[in-house]
Amino acid sequence: MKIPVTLKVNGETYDLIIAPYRTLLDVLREEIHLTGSKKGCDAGDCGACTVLLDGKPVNACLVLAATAQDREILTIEGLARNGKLHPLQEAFVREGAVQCGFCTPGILMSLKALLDTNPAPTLEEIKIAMAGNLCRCTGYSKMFKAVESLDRSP
Amino acid sequence: MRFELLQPGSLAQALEMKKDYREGAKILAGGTDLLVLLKDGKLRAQAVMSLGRLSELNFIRSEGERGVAIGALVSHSDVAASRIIQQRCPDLAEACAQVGAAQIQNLGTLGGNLCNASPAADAAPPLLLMDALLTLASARGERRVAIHDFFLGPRRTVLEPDEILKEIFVPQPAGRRGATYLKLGRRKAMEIAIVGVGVAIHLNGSDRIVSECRIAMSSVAPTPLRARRGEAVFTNQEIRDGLIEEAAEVAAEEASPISDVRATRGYRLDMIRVLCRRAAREALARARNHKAEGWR
Amino acid sequence: MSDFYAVGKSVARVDAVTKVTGAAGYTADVMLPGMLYGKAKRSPHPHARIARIDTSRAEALPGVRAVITAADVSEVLIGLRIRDVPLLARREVRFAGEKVAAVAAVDEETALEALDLIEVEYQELPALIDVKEAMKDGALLVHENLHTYSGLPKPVKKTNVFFHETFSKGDVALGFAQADLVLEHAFTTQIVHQGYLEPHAAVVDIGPDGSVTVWSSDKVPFRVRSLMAEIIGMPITRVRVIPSFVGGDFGGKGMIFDEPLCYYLARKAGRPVKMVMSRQEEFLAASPRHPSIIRLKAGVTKAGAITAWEASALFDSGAYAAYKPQVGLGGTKKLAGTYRIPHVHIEGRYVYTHNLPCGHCRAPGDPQASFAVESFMDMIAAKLKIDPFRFRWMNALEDGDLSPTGEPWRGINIKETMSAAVEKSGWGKAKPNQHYGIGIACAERPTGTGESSAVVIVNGDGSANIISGASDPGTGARTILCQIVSEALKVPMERITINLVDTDSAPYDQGAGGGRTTFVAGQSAYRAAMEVRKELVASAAKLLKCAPEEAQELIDVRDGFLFLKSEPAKRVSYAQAVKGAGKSQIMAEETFSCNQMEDTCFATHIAEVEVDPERGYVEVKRITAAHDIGFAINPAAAEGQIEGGIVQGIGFGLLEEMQRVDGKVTNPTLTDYKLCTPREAPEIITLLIEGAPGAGPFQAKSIGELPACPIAPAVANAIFDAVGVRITDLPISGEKIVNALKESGLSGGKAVAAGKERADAV
Ligand SMILES: Cc1cc2nc3c(=O)[nH]c(=O)nc-3n(C[C@H](O)[C@H](O)[C@H](O)COP(=O)(O)OP(=O)(O)OC[C@H]3O[C@@H](n4cnc5c(N)ncnc54)[C@H](O)[C@@H]3O)c2cc1C
Ligand code: FES
Ligand code: FES
Repeated sequence: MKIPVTLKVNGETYDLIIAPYRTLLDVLREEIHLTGSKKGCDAGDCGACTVLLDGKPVNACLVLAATAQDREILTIEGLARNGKLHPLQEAFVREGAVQCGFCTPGILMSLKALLDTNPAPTLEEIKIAMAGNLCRCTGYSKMFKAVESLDRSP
Repeated sequence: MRFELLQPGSLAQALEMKKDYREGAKILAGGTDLLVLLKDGKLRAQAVMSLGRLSELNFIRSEGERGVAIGALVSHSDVAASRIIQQRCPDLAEACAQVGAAQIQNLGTLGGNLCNASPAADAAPPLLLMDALLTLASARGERRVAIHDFFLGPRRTVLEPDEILKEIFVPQPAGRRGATYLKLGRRKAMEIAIVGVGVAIHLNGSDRIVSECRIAMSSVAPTPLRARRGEAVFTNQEIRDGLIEEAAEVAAEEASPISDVRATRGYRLDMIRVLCRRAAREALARARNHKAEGWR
Repeated sequence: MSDFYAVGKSVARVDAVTKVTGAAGYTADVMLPGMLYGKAKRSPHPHARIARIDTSRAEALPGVRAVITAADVSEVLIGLRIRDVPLLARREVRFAGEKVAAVAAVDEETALEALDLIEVEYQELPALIDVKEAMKDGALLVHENLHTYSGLPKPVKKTNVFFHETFSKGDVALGFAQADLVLEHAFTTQIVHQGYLEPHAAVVDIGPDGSVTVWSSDKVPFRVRSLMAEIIGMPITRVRVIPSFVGGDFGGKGMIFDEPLCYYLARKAGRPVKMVMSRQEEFLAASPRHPSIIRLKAGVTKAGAITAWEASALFDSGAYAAYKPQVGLGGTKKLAGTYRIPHVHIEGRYVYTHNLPCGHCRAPGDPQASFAVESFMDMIAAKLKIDPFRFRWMNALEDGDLSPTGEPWRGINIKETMSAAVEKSGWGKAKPNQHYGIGIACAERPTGTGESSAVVIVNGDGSANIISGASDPGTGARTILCQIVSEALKVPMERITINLVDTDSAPYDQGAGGGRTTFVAGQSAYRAAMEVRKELVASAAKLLKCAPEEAQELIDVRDGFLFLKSEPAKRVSYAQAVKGAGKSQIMAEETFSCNQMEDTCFATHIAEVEVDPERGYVEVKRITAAHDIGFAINPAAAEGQIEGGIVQGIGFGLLEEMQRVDGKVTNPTLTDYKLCTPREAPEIITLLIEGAPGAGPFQAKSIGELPACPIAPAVANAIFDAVGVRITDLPISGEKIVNALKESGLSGGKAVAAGKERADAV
């Protein structure tokens, strides 16, 4: 039996009727058509589905959508504001940190959460924050460089 | 994966539901174990009961000299970031900071880690070192179980079908103590332990006499466990050459690891010795640095 | 080189903004009204006869719209070259994971439930899972009808060795006779997955007129089109393939997987169908890298000259050979490295077994060969007590030499890469600590060949479009095409557009792969742009009052304007030139095709590692990678390819392995199949060595595949340098190091002492 669920995604409220067993990832992608969050494994291993739940990065594939009711959900589609890219997005574009792009949304969300609490992270802190995100294309180097290229003045 | 979802708003309500559903309702805390099993079809559930709304189980509370109480729903990242935990059980904070990576640490809970009863649970060894007490609640009432008695086997605990883990109480050890938890994986993150070893060492005034030692291990037997004979090698001993090696040797004898996709039994046995030696040295160094202080 | 207009610069990728905002559409993102979800039922047995399939219970499940088995699909066997794989197993399954049936249902849950309701009765048969067993005379045959298959270079009968290739130069017997020392060793490499993050996905929609639209994560839309048309039995004009962004390839996205099943399900259900492989399915039944057993034998003089070299490789192809576009793997030819050896004999054998089928994975065959050859070079050097760098340097090819297999090569640049890498790395410097090690390895790989076409258009406002079917699975190929056209036309990058276009709208392109896109697609785009430029110049000649026969000589272009070189201030815009030609746009199409390549690209990698001998844990600290790239059209993109290849190569060397028991993969998850996380990424110094003539536009060479080759042996050699044990079986796990140390008696005191210093490093 489907149940009503209200989700707050990127500042918008969505009233949905969904099956209770559906994951946040599937609901974002298939019901709200926010397909920027990717499914690379559906098991918590790759981080491609990373979204921020109340500001913290989580694997959307391991969250039941219904349990995210009334919480603040931020997806990659909400990272740019008013048509202006987030500095991280700009840095990724500028530094060539994007290849196939499949891992990119999840990695940007992990890094956004890092910078929100730690605006001037060390390389080691960047690596730790990204450790739950796999990327097969870039070897990560240019991503580290992109974060390090940001203005670190607090 | 198809099921009915229960979302109780309070512990009392959750316990009532659990009384009715018993095994029929699987408890969902962070979901990082449960949902993976359900998706794989390794587990089926008629209903899933999310504890997400039970904010009453999400706390870390210092109880002064007695110890620290941790709600079952506290996430690994909150445990790792807690000042109270960092000060009083640094090895637990270290263990939780080594679970998966940020996303898993934000979702996964301390209670889930224990109730899942994986032989590899990272939070288990530090809690075993501290003789943690678990409060199990049901509509019938509450009971306290020592963590040593909690695990029965892989994915099996003493939890009754109507029970929920409510709280983990960590008694405050007295005196000068140092403890650490070391985990071996092939990568630096996103690893289920090949072997995990925690060691706690209590010093008796002198920097050279160990009044008590505790060794706890994960991924080396059907459940996380203490290496009591290895501990005995240390107890009331003066530190001397070869003591640590001997304790590690004995601890390895107490393990019964298997060969699986992560490692062979032989390598696991070797690594118990290595990790045990290193953890003991680190625990000793920490104990020596430890200036006994009063807890508020 | 500095006065280029658009090439040679690390410009941002044309699709980067689309990707960082989450707007880029991949195949799994396609949602169509009424779309159904398809799932495949797979065999749990590596070899069995299918006695009976009963789909009735699955069909009766509410929400199920179609169920298909082999009886519902074409009997054609498909393949990229050798055609041996059925769309669904018919009568027999040949590997655990092979598809036997498929369902389409209103949602994924229902489709999965329906799979459980399909009853398949198997009669298990003995399975050949050991490649050496499979080669024996009288072994069970994986394919009884091998001789009837198309795509084999010559028909072979009653064998599992479906292809045997040899390369020879000189007389090895003579060469070995001249040697002071003959060494021999065997190396084994494991089966690894390409590890692209996007699992295979396909969507098929059938129009009311029967025409077929396909969305696919395949990187070669034109091949999807022709294969689909052939399977369905339609002219290719009735099949349209709409490309999506491709989430990584590394050779694994070149064959169709579920596309035909989507078609049959869609036809039966009357609705569009999407199938996305789960990560587990990716591990059970995609097309990973061939495992190999490689035997090398070398004859050397005391002074360090290599006199003879013999190599043989066995590649376990698994149950089907369909997943590789060539019969064999290019790697066999690489089994004598980049060295000057007078007498060489190489053999490669490709063998059917009941293991999962293997395919192309980043530089097919090369990482296996490179691991063996470059580990062996160090082993020989150690025996001769010569420094491994010096031993390589003494024997390295130089310009004018023939390749080890006797082919002519232009611009041999191996020594340049060696000295660059040595200079920038810690080679020859003091070890920072006791268990630090440094290792070197070299490799070579030719630029890929193939066929591409491109259309270049300059519009009425002077902006330009490129229409190309070239795919870009993340390599930056489409950005590079824009840079090439920008350079040719001197139109700023912002005024050039390249969109993903379907197979009806783009001219033919063979697709990405083999490091060909910059070269082949690049040449076609460059030539088309130059044609357009000629026409613009001709038109401008009238406006600039320049004699037509002198115009191409006297008129130059810049920033979308044409002008007489003698009078740059008087300019004609492209817009005016288009108008002046009496047209709304000026367009040209060029096809470029090349099947023979004399160019190869070289690389040297130096790995610096720290090994914890007690745990066998290896931390790769730094990689210095020098690549002979000819000319870097987009240096950041080239570096990105190298960095990605290095980290992938570290995974191959240390972590990754699809473990199997009785032919079944036992670690089909990303928990236990271990890709490097960001925390395993070392510091990487990339050195782009320019200047050697390449075949691509602006003398560029290719870069996509080579970085994955020398890395594993460089790491293996560094481990040897650090702790003195030689592991010749990949991956080099901690366990193997610890066991080797125990056997060699090198552990003990030294190792324990090291453990003391690093108690916190666990
Ligand atoms: C990618 C990935 C990486 C991981 N890495 C690690 C790692 O490094 N180390 C490690 O130890 N684990 C790891 N895990 C496992 C898991 O994240 C942890 O065990 C986590 O602590 C489980 O907590 P949870 O809240 O998510 O549990 P859930 O999945 O919600 O529950 C786990 C089990 O416990 C039961 N349960 C949960 N809470 C209660 C309660 N209060 N009362 C009674 N029963 C309860 C559930 O019914 C279920 O059976 C990993 C998992 C994933 C997916
Ligand atoms: S899809 Fe969620 S972690 Fe991979
Ligand atoms: S860019 Fe392709 S996986 Fe990261």
